[in-house]
Amino acid sequence: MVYFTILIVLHIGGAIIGIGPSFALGVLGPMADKADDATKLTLLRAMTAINSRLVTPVALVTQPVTGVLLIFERKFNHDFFSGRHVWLIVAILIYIVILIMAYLVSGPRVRRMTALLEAGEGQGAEFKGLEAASKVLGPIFGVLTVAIVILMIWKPGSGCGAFIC
Amino acid sequence: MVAAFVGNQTWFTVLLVTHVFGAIMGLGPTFAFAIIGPAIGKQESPQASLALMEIMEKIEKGIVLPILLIFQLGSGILLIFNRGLNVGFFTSHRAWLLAGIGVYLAAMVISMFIDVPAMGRLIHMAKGGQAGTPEFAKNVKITQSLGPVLTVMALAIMLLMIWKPGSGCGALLRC
Repeated sequence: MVYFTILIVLHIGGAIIGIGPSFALGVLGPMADKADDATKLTLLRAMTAINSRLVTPVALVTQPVTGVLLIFERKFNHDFFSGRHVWLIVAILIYIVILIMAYLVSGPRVRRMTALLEAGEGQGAEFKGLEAASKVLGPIFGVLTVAIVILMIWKPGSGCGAFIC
Repeated sequence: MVAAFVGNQTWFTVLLVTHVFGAIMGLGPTFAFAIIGPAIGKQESPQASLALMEIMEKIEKGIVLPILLIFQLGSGILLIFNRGLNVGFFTSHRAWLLAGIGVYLAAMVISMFIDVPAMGRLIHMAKGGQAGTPEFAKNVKITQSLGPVLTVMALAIMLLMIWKPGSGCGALLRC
């Protein structure tokens, strides 16, 4: 029970401290969209700093490690691929999709946008294209994150309801 | 109707999803202030500093306060009744809940009546070219000292709500 309490505090705490700040990006993005190039650069740097110093460590270390340990502590590893664990498998798959999109699709685009602004090319066609793509990606991240939170709490099909089995 | 609500599993699931999601979306962005706040003073132009201050104010007024004041408070009160925590509310079993609510109320008062107005004054003064005045420095000091206090309070609420020390239930268990 002690391990479980520590793990669940870290896992939910990680979701709040590490995933929660990504919702601040939903405010920073639209504000950057309306700003001049210099302000846009400041806001992009702020978004990158939030990502690299808060979101990334939690998303790549805290959540996967505590998540795997919780699976073993709760013995979800037994019959892992059964119908009762579909909620968990789906949530893990969505999580992997988010990580791939964030680090292979979105990350390089944000770095390129920052480089373009630093080079004074914030009004160019390439920047505008990248900006349009990030407007599409942002809400997708939001919807996928909401889906994970719902699956992790509701655990549909687990037979446990919102409680821990 | 009330009897059907108390202990109802569907309501419990809906309320818990709302409450935990509210914590992620409402409390989570405040941790970004620990990164945005210190960056304000390091900007090369006053416009950049102003943009960061406006962002903090917008996050606070647009996301944090509405969620914490409406969703968290509403879902929290309903969860108390759904779980029957209102019975023996002032007993030691509920000390974690009373302490959590106490810290939440204190954080809301500090945020709404001291921190957010100070940030508003800073933005107003920066726009009016009064960034170097003693009054500006006084407001900077207020926001700088309250930031870590509010972060510690947020961590305390989080810990109390998940761990529930003294409840005899443990984390997220059936009581």
